[in-house]
Amino acid sequence: MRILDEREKLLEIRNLKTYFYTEEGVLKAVDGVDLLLHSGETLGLVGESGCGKSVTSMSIMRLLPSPPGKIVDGKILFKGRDLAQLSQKEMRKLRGNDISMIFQEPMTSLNPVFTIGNQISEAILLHKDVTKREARRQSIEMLKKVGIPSPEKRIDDYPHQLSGGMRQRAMIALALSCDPQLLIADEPTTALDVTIQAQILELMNDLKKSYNMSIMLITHDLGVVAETCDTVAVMYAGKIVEYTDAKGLFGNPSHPYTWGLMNSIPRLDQNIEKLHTIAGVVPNPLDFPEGCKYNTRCPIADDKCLQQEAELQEIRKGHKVRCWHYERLEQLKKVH
Amino acid sequence: MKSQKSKLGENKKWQRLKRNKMAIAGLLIICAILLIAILAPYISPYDPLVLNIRSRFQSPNSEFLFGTDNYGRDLFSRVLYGARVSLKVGVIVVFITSALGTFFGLIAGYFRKLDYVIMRVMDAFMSFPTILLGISIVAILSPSEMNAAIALSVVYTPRTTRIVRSAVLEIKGSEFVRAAKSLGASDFRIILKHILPNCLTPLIVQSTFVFAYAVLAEASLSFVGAGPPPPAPSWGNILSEGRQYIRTAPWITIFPGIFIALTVLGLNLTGDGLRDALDPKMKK
Amino acid sequence: MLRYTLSRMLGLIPTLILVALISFFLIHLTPGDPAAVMLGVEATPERVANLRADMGLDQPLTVQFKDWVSSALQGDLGNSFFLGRPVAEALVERLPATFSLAVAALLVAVIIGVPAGIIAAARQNSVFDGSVMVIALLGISVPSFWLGLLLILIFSVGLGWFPTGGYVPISEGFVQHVKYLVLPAVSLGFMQAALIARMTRASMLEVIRKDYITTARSKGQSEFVVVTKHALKNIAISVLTVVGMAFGILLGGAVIVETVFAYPGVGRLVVQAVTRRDYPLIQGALLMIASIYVIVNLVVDLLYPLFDPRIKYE
Repeated sequence: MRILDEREKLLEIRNLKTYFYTEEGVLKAVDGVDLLLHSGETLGLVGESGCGKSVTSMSIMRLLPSPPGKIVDGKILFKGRDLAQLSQKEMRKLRGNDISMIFQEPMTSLNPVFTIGNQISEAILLHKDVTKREARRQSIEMLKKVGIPSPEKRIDDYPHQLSGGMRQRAMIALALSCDPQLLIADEPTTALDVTIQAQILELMNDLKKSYNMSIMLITHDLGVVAETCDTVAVMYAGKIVEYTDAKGLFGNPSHPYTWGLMNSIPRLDQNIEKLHTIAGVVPNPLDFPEGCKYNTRCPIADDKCLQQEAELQEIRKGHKVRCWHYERLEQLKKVH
Repeated sequence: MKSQKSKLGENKKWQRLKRNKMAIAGLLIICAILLIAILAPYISPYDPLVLNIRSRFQSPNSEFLFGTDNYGRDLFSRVLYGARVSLKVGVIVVFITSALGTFFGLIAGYFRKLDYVIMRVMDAFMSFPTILLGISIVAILSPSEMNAAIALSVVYTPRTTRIVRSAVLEIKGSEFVRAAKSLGASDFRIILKHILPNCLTPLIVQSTFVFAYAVLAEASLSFVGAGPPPPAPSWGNILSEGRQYIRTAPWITIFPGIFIALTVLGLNLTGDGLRDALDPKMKK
Repeated sequence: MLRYTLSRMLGLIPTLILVALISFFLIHLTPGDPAAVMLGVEATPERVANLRADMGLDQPLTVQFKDWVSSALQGDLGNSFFLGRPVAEALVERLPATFSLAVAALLVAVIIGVPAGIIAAARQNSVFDGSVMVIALLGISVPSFWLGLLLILIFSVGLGWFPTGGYVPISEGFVQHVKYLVLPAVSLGFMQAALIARMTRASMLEVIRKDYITTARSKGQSEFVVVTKHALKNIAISVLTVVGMAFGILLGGAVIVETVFAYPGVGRLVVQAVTRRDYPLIQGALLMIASIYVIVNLVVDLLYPLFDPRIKYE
């Protein structure tokens, strides 16, 4: 644990609250989230759609649609600077330069009417003091690094001329063109074929090492987490419900929700007859239940869970869980 | 927390109300103009056709609310009567374009073989600028209220046809139409029972806008002498006569214009409101 | 590119044939004999017969149409009865003035409409947005000739800044030309400005929610460049289409506005032809303006691939 503490804190989020003020009411998309990401590490942010994971990343980028979205409380410390307090002008210097982002849909995240080269060079020209020719040379270099064949030709292609996997590689090249310290990847492989998924994840892992950057990986796919992440935060209904290292999470999932998620992954090494799914649906963010927000779906919920929400507590070293009955979960696990 | 929520709830209602308010304001304007048109003979202080040389070019006053024109006719009465022409032409145009547009649109959308021919003809009609085509048709049929309405119906039918056709194409591919077909329903029955009802929403929205265009276009036709001929008052021909006296008697020009703009504004507001409420897809 | 252009041009042929058919047969809708209608009630039977022969009205319709089209293809649209000269000549003489007016009005429409729509969308629900929407709503509700008359009242009669009407050809001095053009162009272009602003705003609001806009922002690009580079090029095609259609509408709308400003263009000629029942002139004007409209829209079509690489010349 001491070694961990000595590593440089790259990103520290404290008590982040991001609300959306909609016509139907206040939507607490992110409601008091704490996260810590060290240099060179990958943090997985896991949850179903609508749990607040993407809003968290857009809060870090300060790219929330505003109105209605607003960071109402908390700190986002990036190398000690609170991003929540920066002006948009200051943020622009960081975006694409220190912090980059890639998105789920490579089909729609690249502008269809500009060439790949134009879009990568644009980022380089924004943040580096180089000539257009040099920016183009660097763009070709980046395309080569992300494994796009004959980059000198591809650079003048438009997005629709590339396959989905190639497009996502181009998107990664764009994101990494200015050597960022933090890459936020929002479901980077969800829209891709399984074989391509593995390639892209491997590429990201390799690049992470060679650039010594940190990755915040947002996903609903625990399989992806297992392959890439050092630490994992599981989010449910705008809050973190379990937070630990990857080994701890898979070895000993301690929140009923995490456990439910794991049981719903099909596994090749286990010959199970039926796949578990979590009962019920994600509650409406405008109408969360009282008490623990998971109580509508939890197999071990009792009266206490209906009345009061648990705090995120450390149940063993480096393993935090927001659940009254994490011990009771152990008995349930044995039954299955 | 609680108070915030209820405040936002009110906010939402207010937003909705505001959105509706525009449409309601539009409807109120239309109703007011409609009432004027119907009641013109009863609420007009003077006969709109009676000349009165002694009271020529009177600026608006308590006796002549909107002033008088070069023949000394009461402008207020003339504007009230003018509403009848505009609305009558508008209603006839809406009626004819909806009927023809629905007929051609249904056929073009449903029978692929006829689609190409019908749509090429519609395209050709749409290649003529609306006002130019309208004026030419009136010129050939001779200027009158009815002929202006016929001309404008010819002008606006292709647009309605297009809209009905695309609604038909959308609904034609749907499951229930295919199911009806497989059950052996006749084309006629399918069109009447399944397809037509689904075209009504875009048709209603389109008709409101056609009404607005028609009122504008009728005024334009009358303005260049291709509407109902004087001395019968229409907003367009009052404006046309007043034009010569714009330096000395600007009120002759101003008042009928306000009524045209108000009527068209009312129709546009209603159309926008209906479209947002009934068919948000139809934004463009 | 050449093949694409050619195939697009071939595709226009049916439309142009139909346009010619409509222009030609329209005058046969007239109740009774066109020649008699043109000459009025006092005409002697001999004069009517002469005119019929002169216009070829005694021939079968199909022969008349064939003659008319083949002459039209050679630039002969017949003779104007009242002007006593070839229709084509009269139209071509008036065309530059109308063209000037339509182009100036289009400039007004685009210069006001596009930026207003873009800024309104970029600041959705702001005071600016609200004002643009209200003004645009008024813009599509106010008849152009009434607006023209109001402008004359304010800027000519009241302030004396611009002439109340008339026309100075560009060859006699650009400044004078523009001076006579301003009020007609504004009254003609305003409604199109309103339409373009509404359409630009709607397309912009759609595009601005796309992922690639977020990507551009996540690069650190300023909001200004995000809007003017990334979003604008994506709505260029919709704007271009509306502008192309607007040009045709403006050519037609010139009929009315030219009357307001005593502007000697094709429109005024047509209005005079209407009161004089000068059918050959009406036919010729219809054919010419519809053909211009069709050609302008072809040009717009051919420009599409410049703005969207996904559309190829094939």
